[in-house]
Amino acid sequence: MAIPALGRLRRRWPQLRLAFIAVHLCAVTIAALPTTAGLTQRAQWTSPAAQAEFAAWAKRLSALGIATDADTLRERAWGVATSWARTHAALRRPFVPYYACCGTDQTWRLFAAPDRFPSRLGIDVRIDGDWLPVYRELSGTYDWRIATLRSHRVRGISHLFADTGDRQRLGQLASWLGQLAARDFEEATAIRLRYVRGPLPTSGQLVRGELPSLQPVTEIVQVIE
Amino acid sequence: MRLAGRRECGTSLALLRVGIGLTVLGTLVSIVSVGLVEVLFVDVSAGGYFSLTPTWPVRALGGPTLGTAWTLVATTSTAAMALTVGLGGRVAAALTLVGWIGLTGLLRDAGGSFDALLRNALWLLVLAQSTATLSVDCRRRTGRWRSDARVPAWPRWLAIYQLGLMYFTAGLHKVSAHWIPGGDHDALYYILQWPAWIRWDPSWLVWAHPWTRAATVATWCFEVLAPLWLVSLWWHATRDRPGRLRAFANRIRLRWWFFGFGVALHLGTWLLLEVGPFSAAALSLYACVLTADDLRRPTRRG
Repeated sequence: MAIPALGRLRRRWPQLRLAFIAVHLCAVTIAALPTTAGLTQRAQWTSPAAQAEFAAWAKRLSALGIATDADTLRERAWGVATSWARTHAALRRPFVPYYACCGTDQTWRLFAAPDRFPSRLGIDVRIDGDWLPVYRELSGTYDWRIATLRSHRVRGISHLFADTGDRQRLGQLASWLGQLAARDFEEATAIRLRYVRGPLPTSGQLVRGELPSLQPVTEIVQVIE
Repeated sequence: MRLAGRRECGTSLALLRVGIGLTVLGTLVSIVSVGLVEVLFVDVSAGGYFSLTPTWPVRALGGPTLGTAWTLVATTSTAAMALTVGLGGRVAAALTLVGWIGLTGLLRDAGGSFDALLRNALWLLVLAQSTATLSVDCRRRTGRWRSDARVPAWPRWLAIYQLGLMYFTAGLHKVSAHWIPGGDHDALYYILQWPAWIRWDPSWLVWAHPWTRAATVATWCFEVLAPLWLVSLWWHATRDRPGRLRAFANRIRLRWWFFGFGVALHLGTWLLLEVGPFSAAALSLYACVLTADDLRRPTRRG
């Protein structure tokens, strides 16, 4: 009984193959469509980077004769983004098992919006009651555990947790780094992660050597036991 | 139906296999060498540092514990080695994919587009007959490392579609006022200053600023016009058919313009930014853009 079934399957293979290719193409195309799923939290829409973006677009649209301002534009974009996030989720739903089992899920944001206000990480350890700098991003001087901290897997989370204000995860990050510090600095009693933020210099400022000042945004201290 | 049934020499898919295998292997080595296995793949409840979301392969192995993490790292590395040398056909690709899904889905925030690109490429290698040539399997089967055995072409076309889809939708995502033509075109100028991503001190941007603006426009156009690349590849594959546009695109070697810009884009990205294994994974897919003819006679390209 199995052999005729196999024969039938073999005869139908060209049609089955074509059907599979069509389903695959539909699934990956829907997954890759621009997504706003990560933008459905109000706080993200009021970040300095988002505000600068809306201001630039409002200015540009007004120059084209479409009078608007940054706040109005943000409200409209919010409506479109939340509505599209729901539609996209519904389109994706039938393919979710295919994404999960075969790894075909995908989103290609790839530097979609340059953040003009990125954060920088600095790490200090407390020894004899004083905070000593051990790591400053891109400083070239303070480069404790630089291979680990600049690993593509660690850079992502260390900035993401700070940018989203996820203090629970920042605490977990500090806990891990505290254990590393305990191995490298026997007398260290605490570790401090400090994030500073400031606007990136415009080309004019860069030419004149005027680097904008950086303001502290997040700080977390972990006692080393 | 005819395209789906087409067969061709398997060199392009073999090169994709080698590139993706090496990229997975290199990524795992970089994770292990800086001591990140416990950090990324073990849940806080099992002695790790972060709260993880268990993936189906990890659940099947008993959860995100240290034992599971090392089992998956060892299995995935071994499978990736087998994939690179072309041993075990689709099984090696499937094992690498399952391991990669299992590991990279645990702490998604630590990943990036490179994980998704590698997962998709690995799935295409599961579908493809990628060990027909340049492989241990080929050596065992024929006594030689190379073979002209013909394999189904449709997985290669799916890989081409994947590449085009990635660029096109990346272009659609770029709605920032700094990217869209007509604005200040300063997207790359700012991106090349991001502390989290840059390789070098950004002071060189003082003299390179005009070039970054040209590169911003060129990158956006390349991505948004990516469907034209796919069409140009199809026109080349069907060059014996009539049509003025087809003939014109083939005469000006349109597909090679896209290919050259894409390679330069990824090499430039790799040189200036630390984007993990993204450039290597993307360039591996470029092997699928090359036909058997291109690989056999590189000096007589059409």
